[in-house]
Parts: sequence; structure tokens; C-alpha cells
Amino acid sequence: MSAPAPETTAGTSEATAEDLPRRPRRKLDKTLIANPLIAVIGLAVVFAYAMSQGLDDVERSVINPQALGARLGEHLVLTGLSTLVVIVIAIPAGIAISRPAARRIQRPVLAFTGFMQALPAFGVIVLLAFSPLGLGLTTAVVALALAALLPVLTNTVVGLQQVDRALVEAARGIGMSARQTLLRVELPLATPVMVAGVRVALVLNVGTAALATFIGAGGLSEPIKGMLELGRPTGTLVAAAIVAALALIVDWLAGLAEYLVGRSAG
Amino acid sequence: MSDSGAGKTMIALEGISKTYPKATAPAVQELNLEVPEGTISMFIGPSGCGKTTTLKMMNRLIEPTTGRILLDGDDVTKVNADELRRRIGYVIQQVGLFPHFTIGDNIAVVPRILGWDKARISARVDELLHLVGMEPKDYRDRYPRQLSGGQQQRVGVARGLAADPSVMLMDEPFGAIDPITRERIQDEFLELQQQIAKTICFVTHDLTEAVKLGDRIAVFGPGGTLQQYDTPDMILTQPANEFVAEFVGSGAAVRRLSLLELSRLELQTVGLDGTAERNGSPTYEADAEGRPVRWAYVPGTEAPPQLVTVPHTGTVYDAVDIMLDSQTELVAVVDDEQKLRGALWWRDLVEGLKTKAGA
Amino acid sequence: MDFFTYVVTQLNQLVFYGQQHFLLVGIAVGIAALIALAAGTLLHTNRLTPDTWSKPVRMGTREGLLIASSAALTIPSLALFGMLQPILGLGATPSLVALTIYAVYPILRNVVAGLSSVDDAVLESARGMGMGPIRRMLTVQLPLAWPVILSGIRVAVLIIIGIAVVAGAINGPGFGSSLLLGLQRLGSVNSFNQVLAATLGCLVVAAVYELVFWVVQRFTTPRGIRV
Repeated sequence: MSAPAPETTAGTSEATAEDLPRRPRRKLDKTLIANPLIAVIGLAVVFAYAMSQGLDDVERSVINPQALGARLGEHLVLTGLSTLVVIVIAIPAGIAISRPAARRIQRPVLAFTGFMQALPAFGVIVLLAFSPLGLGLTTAVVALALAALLPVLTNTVVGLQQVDRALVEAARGIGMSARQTLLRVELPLATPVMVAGVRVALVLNVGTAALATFIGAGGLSEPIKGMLELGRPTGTLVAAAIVAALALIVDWLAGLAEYLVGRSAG
Repeated sequence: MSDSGAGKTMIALEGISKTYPKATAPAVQELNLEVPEGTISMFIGPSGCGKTTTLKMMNRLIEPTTGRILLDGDDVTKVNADELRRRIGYVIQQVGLFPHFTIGDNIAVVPRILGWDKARISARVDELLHLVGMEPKDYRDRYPRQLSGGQQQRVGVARGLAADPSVMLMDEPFGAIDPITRERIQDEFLELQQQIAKTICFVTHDLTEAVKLGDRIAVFGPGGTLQQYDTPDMILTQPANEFVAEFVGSGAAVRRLSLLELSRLELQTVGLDGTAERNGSPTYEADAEGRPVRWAYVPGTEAPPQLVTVPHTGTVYDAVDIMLDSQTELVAVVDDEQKLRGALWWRDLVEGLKTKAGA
Repeated sequence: MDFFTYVVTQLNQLVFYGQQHFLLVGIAVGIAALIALAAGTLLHTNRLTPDTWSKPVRMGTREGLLIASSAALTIPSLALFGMLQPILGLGATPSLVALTIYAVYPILRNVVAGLSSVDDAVLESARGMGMGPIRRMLTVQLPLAWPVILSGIRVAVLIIIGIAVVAGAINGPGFGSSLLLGLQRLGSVNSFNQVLAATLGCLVVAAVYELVFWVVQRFTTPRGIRV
């Protein structure tokens, strides 16, 4: 699955490579400043360039505030819905997999999900289009949800795994039930990593939502596709830059949320 | 512990000081130190007093702010640091063996850089492993993670000696080893020094270790100043100032006992039972090989106490330890063949030990 | 026609696309790895690095690169391809460039993390023995960081395999164009098979790469640190 985003496979590389005690906070601070800056500056540069080149009528019919506004709306709906679906499915699944009872299937599952990152999101979208669901919004939501499932699942499992075993033992030792331990100790401590996963899913969905245009679900990349097909480089550039900026802004917002959650989770 | 007399100075620090860029006070102040060849100098002092900083300035892992470093008479303050370090052995507390090299390869690092040929390197590796008491064919191809802490540190020492440097710098090398193994390694270290007679600078925070291993002790005080640089005996009995006196603290008299070797003492003479007339000396019974088995007659006691022995290579400290442990007031000093040399009374400790003339 | 028959009859075509896809990914990740390794090793700093002017410059550049490459990864694939199109046109070149840009972040992040995970004591003793910085990097730091770096390259490969299909939108090589064709011919004979074959083809490419990595890992991980 195409997976644009910083904390992608938090499972594989982060758990092995980085010192887990080191909070992602410091890294967040920098991208929190950088990403919106890049988005704004990049957009400004592209717009300036486009102005200098001038847009022809065809391009202008697609790239104007109203049309773009509509597309933006579609795009956000797509992204939001699919992310919601992902959270609802993947987090409980992740919790289930991280339980001691499931220990034996943990490694194969994680290895499988790692491998499945190679599955092209685009392929999944198109395949679903062939299904009875046909083209359109529903299909797109389902496809996006499938594509973004893995990062959230992986991060939920890994986030729970990296909770200090000593704390869990202490909790059970003083008499907390398994459920209470999960809710009051493990989940809160795993939240930063889980939120990182949701952030990845969100950004991923902004990106794959862009591909949804190919199955008639609209969205902001409709103009990109259109411009590409019509062979209008400037138009393509502008449309693409807008989508890119959107992705960066969404990432920034999600990053803010992650930072705030991380702060309160202590 | 050998003190080869005045001898040549192998490494000297002249006017060395270190002040870090944003610091208000120097880490090490105007230091002058001359370490004689073939001796062990222990750097000791409370934390933050500059002993490790001074050590690291000797191989310029930390560059001095002022002053000169002289290695065997040559000014090495400004020469290429990497090349300098290949001539100086460096052993640190966490050892720092390369986990991805075998033991043999670890030891061979510097010789390889220096371009020795393979045969010479291989021979040297075996020689060094023998020297630190590890059978080459067993250990040469193993990996560090397969060794215990004590073994790893022995390899660390071997690695430091690999290119036959003139000077060895050791930064609390035995600090991370458990006390039992540490004592053994310290004894082995002293034996090693008997054989190789390197010039060694050794940082420690353990006064007992300093007294045990050092030919000289350098006491560092606050602000990175050298308070006293002298033999252990002098440091213990004649501290230069209040700081050193306080640092050495109570127990100095007991510590001195570990400086006194039994072989240098004038011991109470003893006779084999039946051979010498009883003239106030203790007599003992021996077995077929001439080794003492029990006391026959001990003046001043009704029944002779249990016969306990201590080797003549030990110190007065060891003798006291044994006497306390077996609750006797007399200990027999035996030589390498377990034959009796003489005896030491408990009361001699208080009345004053006499050293042999010329010892 | 059922799927298996389709695959059998179209095998040559599929293998051709597979090879293209394989190469595309391989070259992109290869170049990205070179960039990341060069940047990571040249810009590496740690506790022992002397505090000269170059240290903050190196740290700054390194952080800058990490931020830039992670921002790039955030940009949706279609958008990035689209943005490159005016400059580089269509086809293999912009595809390769975009994919290389994407691949840098996972690798660079692991190069940095791997190098900084080398035990301080090991580095200090290496320095104390008189090993120069280049020798240290080549014989001590890189070998010890290698498992982590290799893992980063592997992640990059998997991600890029998935993203590479989008290159079909700009006439890039690999399974992407086949996928798009199948979509366009939605409803006609074999269009579904075409799409399915392209999608599964990516997994096949991934499987081949996993094999490659397994072999590489076995043969390049220093024995002393193999877990």
C-alpha cells in the first residue's frame, strides 16, 4: 500500500532502531514548524509561477475557487470517513492481537502486515471498483480504509507491546483486572504511538483519496488527473501543489494533535 | 610493586591545564607531573577533580588548553593525535571491545593499522592471551558477548598492550567487575607488571586499589589541582595537606599493613621440635616433606594454638586477616615449598614491626 | 476467462511488467540508499565529535534533510508525480525521480538511528586506540549499524513497490500502466483479471525482494552481533 508519511512502519524500524524511551516530541517540534512552512511557501512559489505563465481557459475551468472548493469538500469527506472506519476496525483488532493469548500469532501477523505494505493501494482501489460496489464514494471509502488499516494496526500492536512489562505486572499485582489494566495503564501509555499511527493513516488517506478520483469519487486530484490527461503542465503543477499542501497541512494538524496527546499522556 | 628507583621519565606533563570553552573555572589547573619509566602511577581523587581529564589529556582525547606533553622526551603536544594514540595503550572501564570482531581481531586492531605482517600479529595475539591467562586456542575466535566481564577486561588489557606501547593509560578498568574477580585481576595485573614493566597511569576512585597497585599515587583535589604525588607509604603517613589527610581518612594505619611484605620483615625464629633446644622460640612438628603440621611448643601459652600459615609473598595485612580468622596470636610464614620461614606474633604489630636490615 | 488461465496466457507480458517494476524499485531505492548513506555518514555527529564549527552545520543539515524527506513522503504520490511532470515530462524519468525522493526518508532515518546506536564505549576505545575517523566509520560504526540500515532499506523497498503503480498515471514503467488500462477498460473482457494480475504482481515482486534481503542479511551481518 502506498504509504507516504514520517512515522510509517513504526513497528519495524522504530522499535528496533530508535530508543523507545526517547519521546517523539522533539522530532514533532521540528516538523510542526517545517511542514506548514513548506506547504505555504511551496504553494506561494507554485502560484507565482502559474501566474507568470498564465492559465488558459481549460485550466481555469477546473482551477477556480468554486470548483476547487467542491473538490476539497469531497476530498475531506473521503479522508474523514475512511479514517474513522480505520480507527473503528484497526484499534480493537490491534488490541486483540497484542494480548498475551495471541502471542503466537503476533510475529507472523506483524511480518505479514510489514510485507503487505507492498500491496499497491491503487490496485486495491481499482479492484474494488470491479466489485459489486462499483465506482463511487462508498467503494473509495472502503478502499481507503483497507489501505490505511495496516499502519494503525501495526502501531496499536507495537504501542501496546512497548509498554514497560514491569508496570503491567505492578498493576496486576495490586489487584487490577486484565481489563482495568488495559484501560487504565496500557492504553494511555500506548496512546502516543497509536496516535502516531492514526496520523499516518490520515495522511495516507489524503494521498490515496487522491487516487480515488480514478474511480469517480471526485476529490482534489480530479483536477490533477484532468490536467494530466489534457496535457497541461502548468495546470497539473498547480493542482498537484494544492493537494500536496493539503497533505502537509493535514499532517501538521494531526501532528499538533499527537503532540498535545503526548503531552497529556505524560 | 616495584619501584625502579629514580630512573628515566617516560611521560611528563608540563604546565598542563584544561579549561572548557564556556566554563568559569578550569577543569585541570597548572599541572606538572613526571611519571618514571616502568612504574604504575595511580590517579585518585573525588569526582570532578580532573583525574580522568588529566588521563585523557595524555593521549589527547582531550586537548590541553596550555602546556606540553612529553613522551620519552619528545614533545607530542601537537603531533597527529591518531598516530600518537597508536603508541599509547588505552583501557577503559566499559572495555569497549568491538562486538563484531573476534577476540583475536580485537587485539590485533592496532598492529594491523601499523602494518605488521600476519605472522607477527598472530604470534603477538597468542602471546598476549597467554600473558593475561587465557588459552589462545580457546579464546582467539570467540566473540566478546561470549565472555564474562572479567574475561572481557583481560582482553581489553591485552588489546592495550598489543602494539607494545611505551605507556598504558587505564581509566578505572576494573571498576565494573565484581569484587571477588576484581581482586584476582588486580593480583594478576601486578604479576603482569612484574613481567612487562610498563609505564602505567591508572585512574581509580578506590584508595585500597591505589595503595595495592600503585608505585606512586597522585591525589587530585577540587578545581583540578594536584595535591600530592608520592609513594603510597608517604601519602598515608605524611599527607601533604588537610585535603589529602581527610581524603585518606581513617584507617590509614591499617592500610599501611598491606604495603608491608612479609618477606621483608624480621620474623620470629622457629625451630623444628626436637632439634633445637627450647630457648624461648616456638617449635613445630613437621611431616615427611618437612612441612609444618602443628605447633609443639609455644612460649606463653598452656596448650599450643592451631598452626596457621601465610605465604611469605603476602603482606602483613594478609597475616592479620588469618590471625583474626582463626583466632590465634601466632601465624607461621612459609616459603614457596610450604616450609617454615619464621613466625609473626600478634603483639609484634603493636610493638613495632622490624624490617630486615637492607630489605 | 478465469484468472489462472489469464495469467498463464499473459505470462510473458506479466513477467515483462514484473521485471520493469522490479528494476524501477531497485534503481530508485538504490540511488536513495546511496544518497542516504552518504548524507548519514558524512553528517554523522556524536558525543565525541569535537565542537568545531562543522558540528552544528552537520547536525543542522542532517535534520534539514530528515525534515525535507519526510515532508516529501507526506506528499501524495499522484501529486508528486504531477508536480514533476512539467519539469521532467512523462515516463520513466519523473517516475524514477519521484520514487527516489520517497525512498530517502526511511533509509536516512535508519542510517542516523543506526549510527547513533553504536555503543559509546566502543567508539571511545576505537578513538583511544588511534583509529582515524574514516577508519572508525568504515570498520566499526557502519558494520555495527548495518542491521538497522538494512531494515530501513527493506522498508523503503516495500513502500516503493506500492507507490510505484501510481507511476502508471504518468506512463511510467511497471505494473502501473497495466493497472490503469484495466481500469479504463472496466466492464470489458479480462479487465478485472488484468487489474488483479497487476496488483498481485506487486506482491510477487515484493516476495522476490524479501528473498534477496534474507540472503543479503545472512551474508552481510557481522557474526559477532547476529542476534
